[in-house]
Amino acid sequence: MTSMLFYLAAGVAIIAALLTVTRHNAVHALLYLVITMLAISLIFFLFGAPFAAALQIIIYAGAIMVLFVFVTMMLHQGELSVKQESQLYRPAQSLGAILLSTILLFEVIYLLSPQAAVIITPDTRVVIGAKEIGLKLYTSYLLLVEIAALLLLTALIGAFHLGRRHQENSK
Amino acid sequence: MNQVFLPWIIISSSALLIMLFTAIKRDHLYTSMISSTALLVALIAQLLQVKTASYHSDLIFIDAATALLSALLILLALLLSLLLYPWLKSLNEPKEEYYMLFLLATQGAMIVAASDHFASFFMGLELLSLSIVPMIVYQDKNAKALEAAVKYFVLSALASAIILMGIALLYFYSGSLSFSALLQDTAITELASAQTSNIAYQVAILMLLVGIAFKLSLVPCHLWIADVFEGAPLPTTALLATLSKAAIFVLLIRLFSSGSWQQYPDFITILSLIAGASMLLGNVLALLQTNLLRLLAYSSIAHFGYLLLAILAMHPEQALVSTTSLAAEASLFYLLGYTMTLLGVFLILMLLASQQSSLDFTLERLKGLFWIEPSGAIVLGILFLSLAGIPLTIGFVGKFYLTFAAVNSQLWWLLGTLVISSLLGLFYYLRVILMMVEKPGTVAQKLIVLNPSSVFVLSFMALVVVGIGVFPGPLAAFVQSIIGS
Repeated sequence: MTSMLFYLAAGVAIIAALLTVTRHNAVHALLYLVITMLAISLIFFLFGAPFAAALQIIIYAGAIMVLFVFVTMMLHQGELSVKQESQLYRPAQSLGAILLSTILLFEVIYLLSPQAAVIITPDTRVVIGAKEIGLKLYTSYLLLVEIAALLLLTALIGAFHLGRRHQENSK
Repeated sequence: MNQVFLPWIIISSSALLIMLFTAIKRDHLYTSMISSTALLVALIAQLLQVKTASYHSDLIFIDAATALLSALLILLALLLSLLLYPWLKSLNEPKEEYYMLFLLATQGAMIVAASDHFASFFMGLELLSLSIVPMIVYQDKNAKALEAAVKYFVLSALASAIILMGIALLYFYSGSLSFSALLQDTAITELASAQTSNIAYQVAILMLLVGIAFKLSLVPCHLWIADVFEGAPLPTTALLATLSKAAIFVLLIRLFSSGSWQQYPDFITILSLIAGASMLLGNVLALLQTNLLRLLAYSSIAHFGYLLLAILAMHPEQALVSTTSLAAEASLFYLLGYTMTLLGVFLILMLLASQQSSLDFTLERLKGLFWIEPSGAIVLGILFLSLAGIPLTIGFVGKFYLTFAAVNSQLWWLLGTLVISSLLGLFYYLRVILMMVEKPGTVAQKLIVLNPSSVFVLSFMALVVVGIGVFPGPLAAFVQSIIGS
């Protein structure tokens, strides 16, 4: 049963990813990207890592998506894009996304229902929660946390340097 | 924390120190002094523990050879940092960020070179490439730099994604991300007999190879390098061409010197093809190049093709003399010679560039350099002779070692390619030298203003290149003692 749920979620992830890269409109692509993230998070959940699943939703589907939407908003192209946007929100456009996320929704409902718990548990006895991840990160992988900090610092300095110049240009 | 991390701590904390310092007050001179001093102290700390270093954890593996290579990486960064000040001074940009990114890139290179786990390798690699991107586009609204940065960023992200997929497949196959566990796994030696059955494993290794080939700009994945060399500011190019490539190559040596997975005939064939194609194509593309930076870019493809020869020589089917460490020694020696020489070339170009506004380095601009600026031209000439592999320079010793290792492992076809492509290489390196010796048509003008640090760096470079070229014995014995142990 777990494997069937997995293949279903993985299929959704792949279809959504394919649709992401083939969309012409950035917002539509983002919509499918969110679905990819949700499907991946469901896979984490299936494999007994609820904390990673929650992080996947909070960070990718939440924070990073908001950033993407902001960027798309800032790249607003004036008259042309207003005209396009009127085409954008036809209900027919969202059918694919709704269909894919409905599949995921049914999977989640099934997973949370009491009889599923009995079927699922034998495969995934070890539940990797926040405690296990924290223990790993701050003992054997402590160095990686430090490298990640340096990586973020690099990104910050780079973004600061490149971004500051744009500000000066617009003045 | 173990003392082997001392150089790392010094380098990364100096980046933080510069950041805090900059937040209070921007001062270019102090920033430059902090970064150079930090690199010098780190170099001393690293050199002191070359003989004794031995540390092994899940993520990091440092032994004498790794410590020596880390010392080489710090030395490259130190020499480059000494000349950053005059170059950055002429820029109309905030300067302190460059030092932070520079130090963080050095840190990333050292992590890559010492990693023993795919997680630390990947994070180090990302630290390295991510700090190089803003450094490429650092200068101004230069369209070429922007193009170079976008090319590097997109392609490097793609290569990282491919590497990541390879890592994921390896994990799927073996359940471990540690190099030592992965490479010495008994299950994998069993696989050698039934290798055709396991597609996932082969695809994983192939993906890793593709990603690494991109980072080293080996032939099928080399298209980005000429544009990046041309568009990026000179210190960034120097960093990319020496530090970043050297670190990744060290990792490749690590992957190949232990374990048995690389002995599958398919991988050997693919690697041989990559090596041969890199040598030939790199030199052929450089042959008629009139832009000096593009010429160096193509020649760097060829040089890493030569270096692959040393890797292929590591596990010979039948060796003439059974020495275990010859190929590793050869690769180390060649890497040392090539990175030092190339860095020297870039340092001289930086001195030339700081005096002139135009950024493109055509060969024409070097015309008559010898008569205008003899000291600079002589050093540049020596460095180019070393790149070509003329005797009495470090490049010759490196190539000699390489040929020796290849003969020992009986890689005849690749040796033939090496000889042919070296001849091609000789042509365009000598063309640069001839161009410098030609009488200048126009009125002589002073091109380089020498200050103490650049005099020191240039004479150090010339001394290393010629000194080790004439007396390779002591260094060879030292390297041998470290690798053999």
